[in-house]
Amino acid sequence: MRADDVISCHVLVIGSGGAGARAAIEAQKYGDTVLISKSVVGKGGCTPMAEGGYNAVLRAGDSCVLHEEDTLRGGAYLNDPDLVQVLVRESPERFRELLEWGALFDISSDNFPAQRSFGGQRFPRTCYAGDRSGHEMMLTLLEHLRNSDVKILQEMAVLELLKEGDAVIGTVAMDARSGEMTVIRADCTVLATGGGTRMYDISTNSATGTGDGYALGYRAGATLIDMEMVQFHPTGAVYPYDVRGRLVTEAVRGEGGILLNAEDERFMARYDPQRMELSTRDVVARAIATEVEEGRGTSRKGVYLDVTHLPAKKIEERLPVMLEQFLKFGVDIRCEPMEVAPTAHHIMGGLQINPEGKTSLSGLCACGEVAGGVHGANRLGGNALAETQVFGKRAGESAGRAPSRQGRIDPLQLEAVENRVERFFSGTTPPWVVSRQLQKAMWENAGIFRTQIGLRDALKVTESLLDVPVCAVSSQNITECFTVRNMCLSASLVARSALLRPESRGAHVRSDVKQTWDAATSPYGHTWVSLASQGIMRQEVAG
Amino acid sequence: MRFRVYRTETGGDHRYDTFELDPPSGMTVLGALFEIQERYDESLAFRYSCRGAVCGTCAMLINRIPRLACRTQVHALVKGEEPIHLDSFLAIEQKEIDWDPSTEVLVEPMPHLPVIRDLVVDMDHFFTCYRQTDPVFRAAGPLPEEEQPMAQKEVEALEIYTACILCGACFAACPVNGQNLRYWGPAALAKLYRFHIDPREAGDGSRLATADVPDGWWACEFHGNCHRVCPKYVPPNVAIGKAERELRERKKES
Repeated sequence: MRADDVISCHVLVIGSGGAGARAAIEAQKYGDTVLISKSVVGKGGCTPMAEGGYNAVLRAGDSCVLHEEDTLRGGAYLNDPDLVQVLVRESPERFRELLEWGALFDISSDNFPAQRSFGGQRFPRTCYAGDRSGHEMMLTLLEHLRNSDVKILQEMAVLELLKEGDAVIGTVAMDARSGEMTVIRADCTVLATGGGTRMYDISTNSATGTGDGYALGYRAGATLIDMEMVQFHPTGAVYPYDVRGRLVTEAVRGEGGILLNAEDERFMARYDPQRMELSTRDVVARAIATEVEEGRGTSRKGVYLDVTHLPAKKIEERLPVMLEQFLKFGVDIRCEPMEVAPTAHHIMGGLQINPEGKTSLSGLCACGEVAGGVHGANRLGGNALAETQVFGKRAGESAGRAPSRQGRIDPLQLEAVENRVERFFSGTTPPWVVSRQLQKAMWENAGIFRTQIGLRDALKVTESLLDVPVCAVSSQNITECFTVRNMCLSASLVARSALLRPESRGAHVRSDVKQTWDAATSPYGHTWVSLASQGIMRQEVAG
Repeated sequence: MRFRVYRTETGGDHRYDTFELDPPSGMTVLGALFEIQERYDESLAFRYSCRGAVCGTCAMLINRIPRLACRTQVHALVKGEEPIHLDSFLAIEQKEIDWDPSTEVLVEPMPHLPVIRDLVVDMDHFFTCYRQTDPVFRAAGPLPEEEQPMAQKEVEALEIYTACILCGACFAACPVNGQNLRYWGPAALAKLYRFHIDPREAGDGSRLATADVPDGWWACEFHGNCHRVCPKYVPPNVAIGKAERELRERKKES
């Protein structure tokens, strides 16, 4: 066996973003905790990139009921109501905790954490640190984490979850630089691997957003729900090529930015006259895609996002990262509009969890974007950072409370992983060739507007790409081969789930299906996929 | 346009590989590295994650200046736009390769840190220096029930320093770090200063005392390279200067 290095611990956390860091901080109260990260710890994932903010009910005038209703309505009533309730009730507590740990959020004139408006919310409840909210959160969590006894393994990719019977008992991982393998045996494992919209041609995600957690969970036998629910953020950068898809934060609209088409028309009036630019993300993304498709977009297939009517000082203070990002590419957003178009942003679906963060598999918890059910069919801006903290803590606690188990590593399972590694050395196709084909197929056929024919195509492509003999030119590229396989598998789950849902709901739009119901009266519940089965739940239609 | 890229194997010798690209307008050095990887050599190793100057993993030595690859555009570079002028430091002085900055882009790993492979350096030493400052918030007293009141003005004063993304560019550009392995370096000291001025902490000078050692505050020679290369405009040199002044005053008083 080449995986001769074995680490034993009580809790293993996979992922070092907001959810993983929070889970590890909690879990280490109960026993030895190891955190493993594919990137340099805290530098991967999407938490540090999150600009907009953190939703929490803090002020008189707002209420948990209101936040809950906004979240359910925004999620087209596909959310798991129990998870929403937990999110909303515990988010303020977790936010205060971050402040106690030294996080520096903006303060309003009443000496209270400042909050701004975000899409789909009836109260301005998004707390922020300029437009670097996630970065501030991540730094605070890392400071806390480094001060704890958590053992950190970085730049190591998890190749497979190890099982004993139906239970997850740890993992086998590989050092991304040396190619050396390590077995980690754990009483309980927390998946906090984040999302996976890198499976799309245009995406806001960092390099690590490759859907590894969905694939690991699926192969281990976990149930995943609502994988068809992919959020396309309405405003991504359009040019130059290198920053294509990069997020233009919703805070731009929250602070008063308006959307204009090439004919200088404020087109949101035709799609959602009440909420206009601050409608939910699914609605705004579809509106922009429609404008472009019908010929009212810019030559670069975008629309304009304009803040030139705002005072320059406000832009400089509230949107410094955006200002700088565009200035670098020659656009001064204080005096000219940005060009934006939708970009794949967030996967609402994921491993099914209960409010304690437990998945359908014993010994496996999940939290953050890799978990499903919290956001339903569309996520509200500001709810993801809150989710990382609320469910990170809960999953860490559940894992910490898990009984110790003397899991025995199955040599056959390790051998299978080693065989996969061997095969990559005799492969023929570079991983990037596979990911390019995948991204193109997903963007074209499993994007904002979907049809059965297109989705079948996407599924066929993803499944055939899973069989392409990917090659590793050196031991350093082996983890890339595993990653690209994970991307293909996760993408196939998205396509499969999308075919299971014969309706338009939230972010999932089937332009070939006519339906007589709206979100609130839909006869359908979650879709699910697992190794054993797949389907869509039926539900009683409310009178 | 030609790219001269530093290559190495662990423990082995290094060499410079040359790659020809025809970069479109707006292409960043990171984009160029992707293209080199895809068109010429898949084995080229470099770190990156967010592609948007937030994660700080793609800092490298570009035309002998530590910069973020994702934020450096190649055309601007050869045109000499946005020049950064630095006080001389080890990496600038190295003359082993000649390159023409008006037509070529020289990409090397960050100096002052051991190279793992190609453009990937071992950041352990940098993070050890950072941890040495005990960068964990310590509230002054028992926490009040409600949020701790803090004026937005105070927040803004701190934000100058919390903007740091720990990319290590300042460490790599610092002439002192190049000579003194024990020097804590600009990023760590700026972070320490951030806690010193945090009004929610005790403000009893204990943070200043942490680095009141020869290799702490006092090793800085105020070249200012740290501030000039910082992609987030953090001024560690200003923080260090203020810390030194305050320490001197405190010592005079006592």
